Amino acid sequence: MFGSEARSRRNRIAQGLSGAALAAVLGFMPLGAQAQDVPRSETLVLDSTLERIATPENYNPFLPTTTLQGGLHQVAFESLFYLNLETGELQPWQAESYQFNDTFDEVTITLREGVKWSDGVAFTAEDVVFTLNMLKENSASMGNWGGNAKTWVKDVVAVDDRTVRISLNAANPSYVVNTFGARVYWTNQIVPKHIWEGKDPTTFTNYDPAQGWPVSTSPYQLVTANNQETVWDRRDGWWGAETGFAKLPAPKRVIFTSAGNEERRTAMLINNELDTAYAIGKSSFETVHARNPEVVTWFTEMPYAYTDAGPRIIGFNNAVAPFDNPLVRRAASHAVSRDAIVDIAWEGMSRPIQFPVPTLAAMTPFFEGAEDLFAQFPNTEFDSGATEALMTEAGYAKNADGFWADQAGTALVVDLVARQTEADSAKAAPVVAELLRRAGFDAQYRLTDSAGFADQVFQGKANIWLAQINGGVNNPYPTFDMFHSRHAAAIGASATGSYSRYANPEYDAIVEEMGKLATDDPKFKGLVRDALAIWLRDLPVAPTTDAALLASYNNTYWTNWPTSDNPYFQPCFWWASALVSIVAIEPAS
Amino acid sequence: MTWAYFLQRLALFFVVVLTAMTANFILAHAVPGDPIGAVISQMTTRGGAVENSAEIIASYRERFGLDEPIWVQYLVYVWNTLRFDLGTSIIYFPQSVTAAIVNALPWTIGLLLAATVIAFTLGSILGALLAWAATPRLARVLAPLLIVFSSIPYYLLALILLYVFAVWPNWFPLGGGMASGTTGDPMSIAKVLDIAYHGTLPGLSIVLAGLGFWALGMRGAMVNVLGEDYLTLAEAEGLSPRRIFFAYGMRNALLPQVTNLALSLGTIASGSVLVEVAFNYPGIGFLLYDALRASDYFMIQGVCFVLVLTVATAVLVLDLIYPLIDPRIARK
Repeated sequence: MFGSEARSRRNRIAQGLSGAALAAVLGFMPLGAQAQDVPRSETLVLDSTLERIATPENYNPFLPTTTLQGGLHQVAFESLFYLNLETGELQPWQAESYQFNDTFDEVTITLREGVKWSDGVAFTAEDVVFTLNMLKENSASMGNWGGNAKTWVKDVVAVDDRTVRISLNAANPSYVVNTFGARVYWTNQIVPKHIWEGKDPTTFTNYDPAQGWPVSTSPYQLVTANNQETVWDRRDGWWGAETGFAKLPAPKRVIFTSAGNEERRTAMLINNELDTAYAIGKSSFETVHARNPEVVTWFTEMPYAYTDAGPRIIGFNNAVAPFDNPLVRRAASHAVSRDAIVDIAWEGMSRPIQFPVPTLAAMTPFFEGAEDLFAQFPNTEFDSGATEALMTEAGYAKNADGFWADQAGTALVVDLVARQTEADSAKAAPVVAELLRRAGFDAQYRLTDSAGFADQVFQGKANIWLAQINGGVNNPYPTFDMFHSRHAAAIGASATGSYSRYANPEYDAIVEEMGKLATDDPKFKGLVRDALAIWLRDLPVAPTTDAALLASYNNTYWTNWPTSDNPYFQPCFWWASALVSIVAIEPAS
Repeated sequence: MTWAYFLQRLALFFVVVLTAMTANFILAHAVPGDPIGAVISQMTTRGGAVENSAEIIASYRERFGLDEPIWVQYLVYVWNTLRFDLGTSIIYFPQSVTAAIVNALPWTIGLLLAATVIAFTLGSILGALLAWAATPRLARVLAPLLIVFSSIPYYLLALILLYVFAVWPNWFPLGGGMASGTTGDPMSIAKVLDIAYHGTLPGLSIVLAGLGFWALGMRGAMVNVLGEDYLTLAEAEGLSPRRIFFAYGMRNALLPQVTNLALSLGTIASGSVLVEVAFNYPGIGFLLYDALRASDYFMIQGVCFVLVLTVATAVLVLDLIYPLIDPRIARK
């Protein structure tokens, strides 16, 4: 019964058990096996904001699917300019200066002398010409920069190696800052013609570390990349240091890692596994700071957080009843307490707003003198009496259930959509829905993923939603422009801009005029006032709050972080402008 | 094993795979959402003024064939999948689905294989000991405590392990598959140990969640076996208790356990999705999680196809080797 075959089987089982036990023992040994060849004290570890680097082998900055904040737009490329939100200045980088003609439909950009690609080839005007023409020719597949180039670039020529002249299709004094200024998250990066020429830019991944790709002018070179992180080592031959433009950055290695979620981000900060982290909540930050006092943020006390460029709104579908009626939009706006959103979604770190632009120093002057308009249309005041009055004026009455109903007796159904991936939206949605119900709107809320949100909002299926408006940061024109009727597609087609489908020819004309003027033109502020008067009256979306960006910085290994006491730059290391701060930080010891 | 048995199992394998392929297609497309719109949606949340979003959506819908009638999309999908062409991912474009899966699959297979073998082995021994009269009292007390973990969902167990072993004492990494800063060096002992170190907590959560299932199954089977005449005969022959336990008791009680192993592979694989998300583990589960959130049809279909193929193959292999373990199966 138990012959050699049985013994052999027993031996195999024993071997299996031994192997499993060995694996278990090895697994439990905290050996760490750090395959690092750069010390932690010389490595800067940044939070990519992501759960994972989705496209670690794609360094084509123009494809809509490319993961930008995993290091690509921070250190894989540089920008011609970087907009400093603290000073309001457009800081030249690869470029030295720019000059518009008198009619703002032609701009001449002068490139900085001595800028070189990482393979030693000179960075020239031909690279800029090639990049813009490539984007224009492939606009449908090249993300927002394809659309930007197609909309604005009439012609681009290299006058000489360092001079580019761009003719625009229409006057646009904001073209340089909006396109090449790393305004917030995006900048039109320039790619090397000698690498990209002959490639299909709609599928080219620009990835081959073995041959030094991505070729860039940045002080950092990609070493390795996976879904967990990207690793970049300093190039000591960086043009910036060689020409005396800037010092060589102190970190010898930069890692963009995927902390994933707030809990893990918090723990990594406590354990000194992160040098800077994406936004976390107030209570999480206070926990981190209590356990690791070296971790700080923009302010040392409440409200702690920096102001994000994307203020929050309640979006309305202006093309479909009942929110095609401005009276109903204003009534709904009065039903929502902004203080409640600040308390619950932002833990007190934010503030109510009256127009969807961020409360940044550069923005405030444009709205000085408009106090009378905000008083005339106090849309953001929590006022149930105003809701009652406006709804009655709009022809609605409450039914037996206490909900607003039209003249046929049909109750208004308000189906609020919010992205579950946006923490503040997920927290604010039940608050907004409950406040709307209390004001007599039969409101429900739904949290969706990005695909569901896009399906509902972009195509015009949703009638009300929570979102952000990523418009102007140093002047309000880009925000006003998001409500221009060219963005208002028919229901079922994809809208753009604010997605509100607001259409008003009178407003359009003012915004178009505004777009042709420099922001320091004496007429500009008057046009802001004219547009604002219409906007507040019609209220295409209801502004709610500023967004709080509680970015954390760890002084254990690195110092000279941008803070309110040292506000040399915006503190957001996941933005396209991060390189400026990376060059500025210093070792702690 | 007879040819008829072999062919019957093989036919069943193809029916299961083809049915699952169709279900994958229907379910992926039934979820409301626009995968191309999701990409634009992500761009807008990050501050992109996407002037040409309508143009981009139209262009990419055409590129991915999403502008075709649904039945055309289905036929293309079946034809391509049968040729193992899983298409191009929408959210990872221009990366192919196959490339993404090939990158992620070794992580999941390594994790699941190690964790399943450990859970199956320990659980079976534990269950057998619980039914064995000579088991020490301490083991009898500790075993049910371990079984309690099986009632805790994977995800919750993962969070508990993270807090207990990674956040507070910082003994284990908070996530990921390798140490931060690991460059693309060739595989070495240190790297293998590092990967095992990072896989410990995710693996432990799968082991703890599965331990009770295997232990309870084994205890029931062992109780039945212990009542058999051949056990009495073995005792009467004066064989050692150790030999009776392993060679007579456990060996025979393992048969239904192996059946359960085949049946539970699907559950284990789907449970690992949540574990990978909790530990930020770079496996196929996380890939599926990302794809589901963005309605990336091709990635969902590809990952599900590979999971179904893997589980169906494992079941087929177990089906085929079962007659070797228990010859009665083939005879029937």
